[in-house]
Amino acid sequence: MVRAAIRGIWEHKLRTLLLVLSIVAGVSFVAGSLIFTDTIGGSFDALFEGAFEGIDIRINPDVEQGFTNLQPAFDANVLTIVESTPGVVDTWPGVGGLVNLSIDGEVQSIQGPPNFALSWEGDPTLTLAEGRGPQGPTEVAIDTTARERYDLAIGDTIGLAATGAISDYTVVGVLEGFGAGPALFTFDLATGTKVLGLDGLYTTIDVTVEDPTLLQEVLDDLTSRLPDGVLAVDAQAAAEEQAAQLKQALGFIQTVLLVFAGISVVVGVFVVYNAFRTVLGQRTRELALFRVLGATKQQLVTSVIVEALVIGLISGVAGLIGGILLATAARAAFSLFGGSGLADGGLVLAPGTFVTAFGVGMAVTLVSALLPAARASQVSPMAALATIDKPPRRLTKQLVVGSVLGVPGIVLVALTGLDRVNLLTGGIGALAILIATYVFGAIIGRPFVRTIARFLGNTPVRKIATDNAARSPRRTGATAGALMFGVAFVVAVSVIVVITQKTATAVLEDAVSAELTIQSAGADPTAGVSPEIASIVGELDFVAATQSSRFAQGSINGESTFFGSFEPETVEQTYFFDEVQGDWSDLIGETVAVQRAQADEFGLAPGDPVTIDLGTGPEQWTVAVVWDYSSSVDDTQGFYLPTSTLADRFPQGNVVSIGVKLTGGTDPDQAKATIAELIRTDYPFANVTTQDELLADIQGQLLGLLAFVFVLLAMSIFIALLGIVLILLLSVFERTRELGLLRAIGSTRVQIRAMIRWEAVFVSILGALMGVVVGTFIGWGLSGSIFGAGFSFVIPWTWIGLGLIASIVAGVLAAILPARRAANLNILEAIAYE
Amino acid sequence: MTTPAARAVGATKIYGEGDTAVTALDDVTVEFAPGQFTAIMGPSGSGKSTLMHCLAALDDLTAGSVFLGDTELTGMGDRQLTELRRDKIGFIFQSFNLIPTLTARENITLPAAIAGRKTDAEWFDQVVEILGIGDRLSHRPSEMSGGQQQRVAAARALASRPEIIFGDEPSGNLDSKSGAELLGFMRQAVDVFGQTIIMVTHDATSASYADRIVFLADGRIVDEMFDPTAEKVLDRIKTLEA
Ligand SMILES: Nc1ncnc2c1ncn2[C@@H]1O[C@H](COP(=O)(O)OP(=O)(O)O)[C@@H](O)[C@H]1O
Ligand SMILES: [Mg+2]
Repeated sequence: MVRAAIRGIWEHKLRTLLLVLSIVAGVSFVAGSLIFTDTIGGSFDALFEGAFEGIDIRINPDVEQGFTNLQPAFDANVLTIVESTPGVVDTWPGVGGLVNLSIDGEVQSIQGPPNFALSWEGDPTLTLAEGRGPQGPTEVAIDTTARERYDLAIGDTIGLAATGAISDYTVVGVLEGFGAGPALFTFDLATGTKVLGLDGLYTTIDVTVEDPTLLQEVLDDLTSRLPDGVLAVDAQAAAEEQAAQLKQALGFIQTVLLVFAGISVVVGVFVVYNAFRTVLGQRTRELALFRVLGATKQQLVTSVIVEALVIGLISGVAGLIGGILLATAARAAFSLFGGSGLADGGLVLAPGTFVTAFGVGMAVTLVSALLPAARASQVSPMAALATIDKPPRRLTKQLVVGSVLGVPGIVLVALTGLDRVNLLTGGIGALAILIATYVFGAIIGRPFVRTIARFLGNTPVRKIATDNAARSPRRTGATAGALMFGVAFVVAVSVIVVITQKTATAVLEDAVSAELTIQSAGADPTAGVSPEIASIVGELDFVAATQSSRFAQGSINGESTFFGSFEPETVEQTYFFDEVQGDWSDLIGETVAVQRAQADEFGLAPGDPVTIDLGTGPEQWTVAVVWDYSSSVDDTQGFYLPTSTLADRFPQGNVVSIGVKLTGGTDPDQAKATIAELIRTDYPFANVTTQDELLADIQGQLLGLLAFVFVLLAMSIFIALLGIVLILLLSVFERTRELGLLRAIGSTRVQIRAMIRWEAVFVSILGALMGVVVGTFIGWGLSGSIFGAGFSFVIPWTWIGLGLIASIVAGVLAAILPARRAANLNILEAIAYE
Repeated sequence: MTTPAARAVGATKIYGEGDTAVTALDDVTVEFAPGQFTAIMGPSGSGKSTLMHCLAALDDLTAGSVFLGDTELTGMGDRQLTELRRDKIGFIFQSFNLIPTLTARENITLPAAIAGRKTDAEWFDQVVEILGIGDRLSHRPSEMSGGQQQRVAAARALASRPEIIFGDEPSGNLDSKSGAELLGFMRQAVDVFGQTIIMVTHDATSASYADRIVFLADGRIVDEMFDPTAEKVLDRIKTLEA
């Protein structure tokens, strides 16, 4: 029987190839995700091996650390405290923050990882690779990342500035860099302080202690001495934690990739299961013949399982190779988007990856083959004598299973849509709906295909195609169902993205009255622009008002949040408000303006006290205004502080954006050109955009996100299409006689091809429509949890339309091979009997 | 003299090459008169099916030519041959004559539908009535007996008023009663409508329904007989085999 099984594999090369492909695609995705993330993880390990080496304690502000300008700085008092703490030997106070780079007069790195300015006076956290350390007001040492990314060398002159006018610096040294992420530009402390505008302030102090065994005592001592908002941490622990944080981010990436890979694998299971079922159904007579000849049930099951195992093994090997290719491609894409340096080492092929690839390959085939094999083994020897044509089976089981899963699924997703339950519950509901729809495919397939056919009008070719699509409801349902999965995910994600887009743009469109916005040209908006730009632009006679906003992170009444800011003087000119309770002129000092939704949530009204912590300890502030935009959509931030207050608190923090309200009748494009010209020389890193450009920007970003998700889902859709090809091929094989007869009585090859093509299109439209309906519903449901109840729902008609057209095209493509097979059948062989 | 409905001139068909070559038809020249029911007989492997397939535009010759009426088939492309089968030829095979998803009526009108023609309703009714399948028209093949299925196949062959109908052992899978009925109907189609029929068979009784029998052996025509009866045929077979 084993020999028979292996011969079967060889005799049906094309079928085997397609089966293998359907599995390989999913396995490659899984293996590729693992290899890719392992590889990056490996470079992270290398990255942090030497981080913070040589220091024992690091002092920094008590906020999440990162390469931003949001973290508060502390003053020399802190340094005095640290220096006077017993057990402390050396201290290296330092500054750090985002910086802009200009080479040969051109602003660099508009996209990608940030450029980070650091002070470095020889402390052991960084090591020189080349040249010497920076000294004096015109010298900079860059790191290897910056050197590679911007193709710099010692002796080059580069322009750097946080926000203000550019100064030129000469590269005097190169430090060992992280190899990825931000590019470092280091100055001596005085210069760094000047570049970052942090006169008399520090963002870090590195400390060594006398006796490392007493580290904990020193730490405890420091903690009790330091003011609120400043932390002393164990440097080694901090390094490990930073590595852990990056690993966690990486783990998230891995999870996302594996989820999508999992979808492909599941679709692969459906496709392969369906194929095995069909093949074994077709082989009923052959199997029954084996039984007549005395083969036991066990032998039949064994033969099927051997076939599955061989296919699984081939798939495992091919999947591993595919995974390596995918990981290579992903790494290339990754370094293209700024991860260069991580891409240098070899790919990491962990033993776990091998095990997983083979395991998944085997599991998919075995899971898909076992059930059909068990059923096939029940074939009675009598079946050898029966005719092939069986009446279609009742679909009671499908109805029961579909309802048992579908009804609770719909309820759960509906509850999620009303924001009654959380996202996870919604996800479980969504999964139940997907499986139920897959099962229901068998039931709705037949009436659906008939309806479409009626709608299209019945030519004989289409009539036969319709009948063929309708004749094995389970097979058609399963084939379409595999496609449904991918399409449903695409549509659900589109729904969420389109709603996000609407939310993001609605504030701009309905609530912002300023025509222009001035922001940092860099990728990280928190780099900000110089506050002086506002006063320069404010002088222009066509500018009616400017509105500078800043940004801070902290907490309000214990809940962590981002804070925006308003300038009360011009807020009414630059925004449209529906509701203003209280007086804008009161938004001054330690006060906050709260949006209606957040005011309701926190139970706040003008005059109420609130506890605000900006990373420097909790303080008692007052609600000045409760307001609401003239927009149906909630802002995601709800708390706005006076801009002037934030400027006092965080002198190094720049203005994140400046809104510019023009006088009536001014052309925004013209105004933009004039302002851009005016600030170009002094503030090269400030970018002036019109509202339309901003809107296009947001849309572009979301399109990018959507495209990314589509790429991840492409694999599962590809597998589903392979499924259509497979099933059509099997059907063509099964209907050899019919096709021969059709040809004999005068059907042209063109007609035969059209017949197969229509069948494929029916199946793909069925799958796509099921996916669209289910995906839209799931998208709506999950949006409820993401955006809150009462969000404004949008159906992404454009995407749905495109998706349907794409499915029809895909159906036509999937039909090419089977249609050619069918049309080129040898008529005489097809109609030959015995 | 009227043009023959079909004729083969020097028809030769060789399968395979070199040592394994099999000559299925060996320089066969034969004519089939219109309005006649001809049976092709011969032992198994004598080339009956091959001759029929070549005459019916299902297969091509190694040498020689085949005409259907005035039309020479040799050298025609697939598309022309297909249209010829569709428009001028009817088929009744031994089994599996019908598309299982279509009803009897749809099967009968299929060639016309494929050609994009309307079926002649009057003619359809007449054919259906003669074959006695009026009450089966909405049934699918799986709901019909073998005899009924073959009658539907005969109806399909007749319905498009082809110039010629080919049958390859049409009653071969039927019990003797159903077989006799089917052959009776075929006989009737020749007598009443002047239909030309060429039928392959190895059964003497079946062959006796024909006007003329052509005997094949080893790919050659070895004999023919007019107005056969079953006994005459059996006798002839015996002498041929001797
Ligand atoms: N496709 C084929 N390939 C090779 N040999 C064939 C093929 N078809 C028929 N033959 C051979 O040609 C000869 C005539 O076959 P056929 O016309 O089927 O005979 P009949 O119908 O009289 O039994 C036989 O020897 C047969 O083995
Ligand atoms: Mg034969």
